[in-house]
Amino acid sequence: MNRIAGYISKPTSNAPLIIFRIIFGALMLGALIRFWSKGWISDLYIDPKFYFSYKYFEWIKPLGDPGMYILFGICAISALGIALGAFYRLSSSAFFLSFTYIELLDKTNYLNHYYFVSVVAFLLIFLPANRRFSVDAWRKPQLSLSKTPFYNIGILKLQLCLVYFFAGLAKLNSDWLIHAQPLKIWLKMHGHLPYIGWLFDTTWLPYFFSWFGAVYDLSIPFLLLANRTRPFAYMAVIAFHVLTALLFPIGMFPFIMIGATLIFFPPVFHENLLKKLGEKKEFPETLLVRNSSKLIPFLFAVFIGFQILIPFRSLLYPGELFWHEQGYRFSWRVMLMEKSGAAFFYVDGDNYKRPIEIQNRDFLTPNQEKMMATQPDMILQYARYLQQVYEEQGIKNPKVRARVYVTLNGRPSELFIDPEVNLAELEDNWTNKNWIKPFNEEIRGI
Amino acid sequence: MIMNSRLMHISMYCSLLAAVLIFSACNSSEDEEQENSYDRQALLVNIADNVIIPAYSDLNASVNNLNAQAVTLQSDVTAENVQNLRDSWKQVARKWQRVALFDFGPASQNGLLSAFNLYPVSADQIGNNINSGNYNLESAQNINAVGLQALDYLLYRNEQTAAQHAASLSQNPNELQYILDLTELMKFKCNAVNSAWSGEYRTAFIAAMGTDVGSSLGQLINGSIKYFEIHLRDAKIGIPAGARSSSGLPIPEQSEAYYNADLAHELLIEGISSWKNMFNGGNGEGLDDYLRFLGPTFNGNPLSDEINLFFDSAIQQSEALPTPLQDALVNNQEDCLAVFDELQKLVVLLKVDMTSAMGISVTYVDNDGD
Repeated sequence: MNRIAGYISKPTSNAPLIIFRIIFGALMLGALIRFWSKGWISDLYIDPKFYFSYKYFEWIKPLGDPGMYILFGICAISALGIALGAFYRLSSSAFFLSFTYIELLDKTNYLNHYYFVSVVAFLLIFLPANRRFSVDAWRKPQLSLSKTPFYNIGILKLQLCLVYFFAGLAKLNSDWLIHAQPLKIWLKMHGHLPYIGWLFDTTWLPYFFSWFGAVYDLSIPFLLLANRTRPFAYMAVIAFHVLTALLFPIGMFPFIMIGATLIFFPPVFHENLLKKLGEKKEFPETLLVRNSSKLIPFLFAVFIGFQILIPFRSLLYPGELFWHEQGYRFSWRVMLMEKSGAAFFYVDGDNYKRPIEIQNRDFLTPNQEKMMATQPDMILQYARYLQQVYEEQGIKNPKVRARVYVTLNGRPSELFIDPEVNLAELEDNWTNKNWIKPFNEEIRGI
Repeated sequence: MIMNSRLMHISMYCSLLAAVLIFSACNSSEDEEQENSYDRQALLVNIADNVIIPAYSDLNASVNNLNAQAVTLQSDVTAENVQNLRDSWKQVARKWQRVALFDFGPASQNGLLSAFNLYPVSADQIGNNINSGNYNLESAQNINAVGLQALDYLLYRNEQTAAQHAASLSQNPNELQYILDLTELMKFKCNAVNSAWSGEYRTAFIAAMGTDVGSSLGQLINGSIKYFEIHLRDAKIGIPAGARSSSGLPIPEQSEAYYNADLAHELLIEGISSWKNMFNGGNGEGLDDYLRFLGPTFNGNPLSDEINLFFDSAIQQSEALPTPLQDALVNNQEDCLAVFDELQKLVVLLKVDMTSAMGISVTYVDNDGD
């Protein structure tokens, strides 16, 4: 026990942590500016009439105009604060809270890489990443440190390993490996490119990418950890993420991963990088670790425990996960499904001659409608909202039913939920949603 | 994006080259890839040259004629000229169905659809405009006072013979002017869209061969599916048949060409056929061929065949409705709702199965995924 404690608290250069902080803060600032300049703040957080909130976080509400812009402003400034190491504890807390607030506003916009950002931002609050090459250390030289307990760097490596490894585990299924879906569909999109277009129409390329992707995700944590394989592994990281950035519309994620995985390089690499960035300060050998709290490593252990358990919660639900998506989010399941649907909702009142068919565009943005149509918890939330809208119009006990058709990984579309069930009566809770129609095929694997 | 697109392309080619080299080194015996490729440009060229552009130039000629008839009528209000204008209006209403679905690119930039065919129109707004003689037809408040359906109201509302109508129009120069102004607006918009399609937009259209939201296929499919849902399924049959009203009763006055009862039925069929025609690329390369290349099935048949079957069935069911449509909506409401349901099934096949097979994202906004 003591040996383990000794190993994880062993003082080591804090340069990797400093570089990580700078890269993360700068990339976040860039991502937020990009988001803002594309007009997405109003598209996603001001224009919609209805928001698909997360259970227990219904109190998180959009702040309107200019509230949302102010919130994004705070988020961007605190990202800059992280990069510069300025008022670090405040900046990292403000960044975590504002970013997570934004992400919790609407399930429509859930992306694994936003979840990753929230998780890393949370960890950064507790990490002493402002002890060097920072505004804080310049303001208060007594803060300066050159070393940190190993666990402060290890926790970030471990988190990154978990992301890759779970993403790899999720690929071990028959759709991905045996049918090369959904890449078989997605790669064909590039068949028009000059010179190489024909490659994307071949049968083998999706198989090659699928298997390569699975092997990459499962092995890259180990290859990055081992000294001998690291340079080769990092080249693979760059190639893999640049390729995904070029082939798929996944925004900033590839660049975040390319930047974040630099942390696997040994301290000397980061020390040199800091020198190149202009760090002049010499640290006396004696300046080691202060205030090595027992609480922080314990907190990290609990955190990692949850990180390992959360992706497995889907095992608690019967049926095909890709179909019912109960426990799908927050599990690093990336790019596994080409799923699309059409949902028609019917509201019936006691005095109605026949149910009215709802025009979803009266209530939802096209993007919300698209995301809702394949995700049962969102279908239910929308049905409950329609119930409320029609109750307000004076309809007593409006019943809400839906005919939803969904296609998954190239299969013909099928009825997704029971069209007879009155969704307005149902509670959204953790119990199995037995009104989802069973998936007629089998996807074997994890 | 962090890198510029040139650099992105270069690095993409390098990465792919590496991938190919690695793979072909391990697997040099495989040699089947070339036969599988599909010429997306041929598809776009055919749809542009043999479906979209002829439809616009046809419409353009008819709209020019409509405008010319309105000019003639203003200078010489006779029964014959009223009749000529009415005939010309019917021509335009039919031709419009062939272009309405291309609601993207130049059409959406020029607001063609709202200048041509939003309904129901507001009789009050039209009346106010005529009485005041002072209006801006492109303003938002006149969105229900312009286009083919405003002309439908003006030319047919009183069920007058051409001679009677000529007599009343000769007493009302403001109304004559309004009719002329409506045709002017349509002519102006249609000319703009038509010349864009016969010029630089065609070049851009056949060049953007990807399937992202901004690509030609992405725009064509997103625009035409949106048209299918809003202006075909809902406006032509669903809303007037009462599918969306809480009373459950039909609302025939919401139908297209309400004052011209015989034509509405024909326009419904023409609307569905036009979509089917685009899907099949006329007689050439169409979405059906691309789907056949991609290979998805439905009910155990090729998806493209199934889609054609559903189109045929929707057209047959529409044809079986009695005319005029306004009477069918009231007396055969269930049959009208059955057509709506049939179109609904097509929405599923087009919006879910087809776009998914093609990997086209059905959102009208660009966004990240993961």
